[in-house]
Amino acid sequence: MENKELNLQEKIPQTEYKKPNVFKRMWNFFFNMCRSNFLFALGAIIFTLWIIICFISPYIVPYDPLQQDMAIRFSAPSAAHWFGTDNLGRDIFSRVLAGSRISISAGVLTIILSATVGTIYGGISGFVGGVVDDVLMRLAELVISFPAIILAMTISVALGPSLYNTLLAIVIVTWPSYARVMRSMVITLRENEYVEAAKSLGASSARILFKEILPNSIGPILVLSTLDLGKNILTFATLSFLGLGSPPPTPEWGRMVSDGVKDFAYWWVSTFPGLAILTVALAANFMGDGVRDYMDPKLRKEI
Amino acid sequence: MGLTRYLIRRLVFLVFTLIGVSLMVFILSHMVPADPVAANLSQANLNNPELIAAFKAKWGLDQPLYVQYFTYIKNFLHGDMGTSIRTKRDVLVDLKQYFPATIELSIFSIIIAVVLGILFGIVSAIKRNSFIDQILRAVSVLGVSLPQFWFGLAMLYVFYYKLGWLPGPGRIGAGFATPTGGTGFFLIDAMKMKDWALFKDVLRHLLLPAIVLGAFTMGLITRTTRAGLLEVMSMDYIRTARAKGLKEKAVIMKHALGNALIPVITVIGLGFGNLLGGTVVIETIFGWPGVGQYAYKSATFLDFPAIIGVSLLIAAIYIVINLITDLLYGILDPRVRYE
Amino acid sequence: MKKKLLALLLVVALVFSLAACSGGGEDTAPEGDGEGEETAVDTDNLIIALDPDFVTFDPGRAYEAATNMVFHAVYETLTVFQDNIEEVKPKLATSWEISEDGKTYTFKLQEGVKFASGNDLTSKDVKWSFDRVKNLKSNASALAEGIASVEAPDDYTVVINLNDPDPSLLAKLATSSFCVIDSVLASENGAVAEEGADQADTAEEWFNSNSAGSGPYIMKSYVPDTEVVLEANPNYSGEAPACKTITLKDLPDGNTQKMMLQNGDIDIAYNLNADQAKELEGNSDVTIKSALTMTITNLMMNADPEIGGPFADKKVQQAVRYAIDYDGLKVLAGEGSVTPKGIIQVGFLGAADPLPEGYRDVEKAKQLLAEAGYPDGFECTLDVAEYFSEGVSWITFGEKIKADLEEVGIKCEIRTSELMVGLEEYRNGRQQLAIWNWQIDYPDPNNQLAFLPDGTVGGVRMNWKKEVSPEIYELGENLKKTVDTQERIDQYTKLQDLMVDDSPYCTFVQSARKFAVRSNVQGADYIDVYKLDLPRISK
Repeated sequence: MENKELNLQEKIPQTEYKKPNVFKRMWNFFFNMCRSNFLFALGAIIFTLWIIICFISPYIVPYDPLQQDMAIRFSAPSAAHWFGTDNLGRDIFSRVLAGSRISISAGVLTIILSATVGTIYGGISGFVGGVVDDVLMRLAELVISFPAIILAMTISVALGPSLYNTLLAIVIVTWPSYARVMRSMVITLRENEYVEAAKSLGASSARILFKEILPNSIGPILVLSTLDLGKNILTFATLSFLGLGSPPPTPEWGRMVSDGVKDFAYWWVSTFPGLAILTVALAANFMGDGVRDYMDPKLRKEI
Repeated sequence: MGLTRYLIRRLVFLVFTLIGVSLMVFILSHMVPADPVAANLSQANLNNPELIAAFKAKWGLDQPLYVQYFTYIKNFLHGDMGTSIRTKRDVLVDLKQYFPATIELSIFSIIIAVVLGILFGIVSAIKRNSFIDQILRAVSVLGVSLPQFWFGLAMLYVFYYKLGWLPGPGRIGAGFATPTGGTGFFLIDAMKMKDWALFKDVLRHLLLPAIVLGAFTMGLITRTTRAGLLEVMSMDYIRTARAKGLKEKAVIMKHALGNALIPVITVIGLGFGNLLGGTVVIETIFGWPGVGQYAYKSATFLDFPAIIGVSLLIAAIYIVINLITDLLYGILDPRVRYE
Repeated sequence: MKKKLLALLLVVALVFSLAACSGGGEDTAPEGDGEGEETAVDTDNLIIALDPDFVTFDPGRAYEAATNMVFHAVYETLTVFQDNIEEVKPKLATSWEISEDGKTYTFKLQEGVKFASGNDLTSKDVKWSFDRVKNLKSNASALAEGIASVEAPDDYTVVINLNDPDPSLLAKLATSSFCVIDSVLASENGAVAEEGADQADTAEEWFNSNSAGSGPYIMKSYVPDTEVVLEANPNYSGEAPACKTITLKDLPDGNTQKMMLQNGDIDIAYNLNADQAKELEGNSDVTIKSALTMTITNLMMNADPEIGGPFADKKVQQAVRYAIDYDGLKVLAGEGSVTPKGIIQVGFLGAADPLPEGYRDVEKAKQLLAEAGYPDGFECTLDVAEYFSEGVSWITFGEKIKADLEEVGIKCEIRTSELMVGLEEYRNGRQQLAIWNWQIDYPDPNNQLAFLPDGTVGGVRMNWKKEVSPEIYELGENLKKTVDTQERIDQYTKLQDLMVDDSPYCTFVQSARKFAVRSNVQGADYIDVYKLDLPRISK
């Protein structure tokens, strides 16, 4: 008897299972998504392209985005100026490239901030429960009860038009949805067996929150973030169109579209920045859709 | 009964939220680093402290903030929403003038969004993964990704400026007199007056802005319909229906669609609410004298009574619509229970 | 299933095409062929599209530019401007006499004039109207400040007593503040003229839907943000106007106005900017009108060292005036714009010739800056409100000016604001460097004296104190009282010369205004004080 057991133990190789680190997992996830979903891959490529442009735009612009030249105002797209020039003779192609910095980073930044704020808020609210939960949630729902644009506009006007105030306004308007998602995740998972087990083992609340609940809530938060990316970019573009954003003459796509409104016949002034916004939003939405489609059936299977 | 309690809770929440909104807007509008006094008096009058005091007294601006707030609430409960500093009329009268325009446009937009959205969603789901499906899915994502202001401008440029197929900004053509004394809904007013030329004109003016506004919601509806239909079609009872030998058409229309459309209701409700509040830019581009434009003009003019009035109205409608949507959802989806 | 879907699609397509391709005349054809069968030119109804700033239609309170257009058609004044703003002409006052000391004006009124209500227009109405605008203490009252009293010794004589001689009185009387109102009709609706009117008068709301004038039109309706409708006055004493009704439509967007004009949907598109007007060239159905307005746009520097910083230094002020690219700004403002030599607009009595092309001198600017102690320039904030001068956005001007100033070393950061928010800071004198424009209150150069030290613009908003520039201040005080024309010309010439070296302003453009009318419209010429002389327009 003993011999057999020892033999078996010797024969079975001991494999060490190393959980691949977070970044490797994220990369695998990303790669698999690209392979399975054409639109996701397309979106990812376009978005990555824009991110690269964000970083290298100062080096690849053919002209200084701020360089004015009254002699060539409103020139149509040509070999010298691929997207034409605007009302002060500035090269629109350069401005579109340069504008990517603010227009895209605004979207990304607001998502990160809203998600963080909302997650913490919702996490605390759900975890603590009781009256605190009620009050905090009512407050969050108060903000949601307001159509986003109007609230963001009012906040921006009240604080004074500037890039930071507009970003703040967008964050204020978007964090509640994350809070709600996080809160419902927390409430659901609180009853989870793993949590109960951990509690009975004497784990502190904080440990439970961070080790058990948080990692499992990332899914829906991630879905929401990627879905909202496109929406935030559009919201920022709209506010910038209304004149609430970076002060001129900093190139910003929304403001560039509004610059071209008065002079319709010179269609290139509004068209190209608008197309830029469209492609970024499209790319973000393709990716968001892909993530959501991937998550959905998966979640369903788990239930 | 669960439903009654739920209703009461939501209505209480409605009141609570309105109070919260009014507080929020009140504080926000007074945070603006500008003084309606300086904005509204001429330079000569600004040098005269008597006149400044008179102006402040007239508009109640000399009271401390909380007094102003309670005065406002008191008047509000009597149906008096104050006088607009900009138009010099009662805010209530202003809202009555501007509101129907936005509602008419929103309803028209939602109809277009729903019709097209559900249609595309059904086709997309049935022909899953085919070429048509990819195209329709791309269209729906396009709808959600379009910057509305740019889309509106582009449509105006193509269909009005270049092709001349559709009329330009405004609710009615310049040759028609504004229907007064009616409901404010020009389509209905035209029907009452039996003026079919006017009716056609109003319809044509509604088309472009409605398409632009509806694009976003249409995209969402297509997506949700498709997803819902796909989910439902893979369920057991559908397989049963098919096995029973029912024609595919009956299977879809009678059994699948009903359940599939339930989540779409939420989307429609949310979409409608968003339309009512988020039309600022479209109304400006299309010269549509609605609530969005009123809100924008009031905000930039520092017209406090108007700002608060508009905000309350929009928030109230938004909440009511969400409530109705949730109730409908609850009635239709047997899985939902109200604690 | 497929068939049903197809059917649905067909229905949808049908609805769309029905709506889109239906006839119905005017709105379809992009090239103005509005002279077809169904769309014959309607000579009775004139439609004007504009971007108005209407706030109130009470002549005693109105202060906005666009309202003047309406008032000129609906009310009459003692004097009037016709065709140009150089010389005042008699209207309700057939003749007048000025006393030796310049403080008493005696007017003889036209007899037999009736208001639209049928009431007679006599001196009591004139006195009532003038007393009212003074006692209402409203935005319109400023022009009546110099009036000590108004008397009506008999039905057709009016005497105005001034505190000091005022060479601009006759010009002021032609503006909307001095419209003659039907005192009987207005009083019935709550209007009060005596002392204490600012508390007792309740007629403002009534005035927003009605008019009480004697002009060729009456105000039929006013729907805020939508339109104003004027109808010909059946009781008008003079010749009936050509157009029976005038509709002023609220259409702020210049592109829309342009397109509607091309389609023949409107007769006059008043708010076109230079580029939009240029696009209409070559269209035979449309005539482009161009005129030099009295609107000047200024770069204003704060003369208080604590707020203005380097801008309080006269050398820096001079440097800025040499650093600006006036020629480029004229291009932005549109063809026909000029650069006045300072704050006296071209076209006014005593105005100097406009600055020539190529006035800009970057080297001289840098040199002046170095002399002032800023060889490397400095940083500052440029406040620009979201507003327009004759259709050109101040932000556009701001971006150009920022680039110009950077060339001499002054680096500005543009700070935009909503008009109302910016106005408050401006009026409280807190802006370091800002762009603001000026539209005249009445057609006389004395209106510009507000820019002088301690004036309502210069003194208060830009903190230009008389101690800093005493000679200019004295000159200004003199000009307020000088009545002799040649003396005024001489003094204004001297003033402009002095201000080349000493003033916290850079008046960088006097805008031209372009608008367009259908070619069959006559008489639609620009006149600065009334914008358009509505009663003289015909189709």
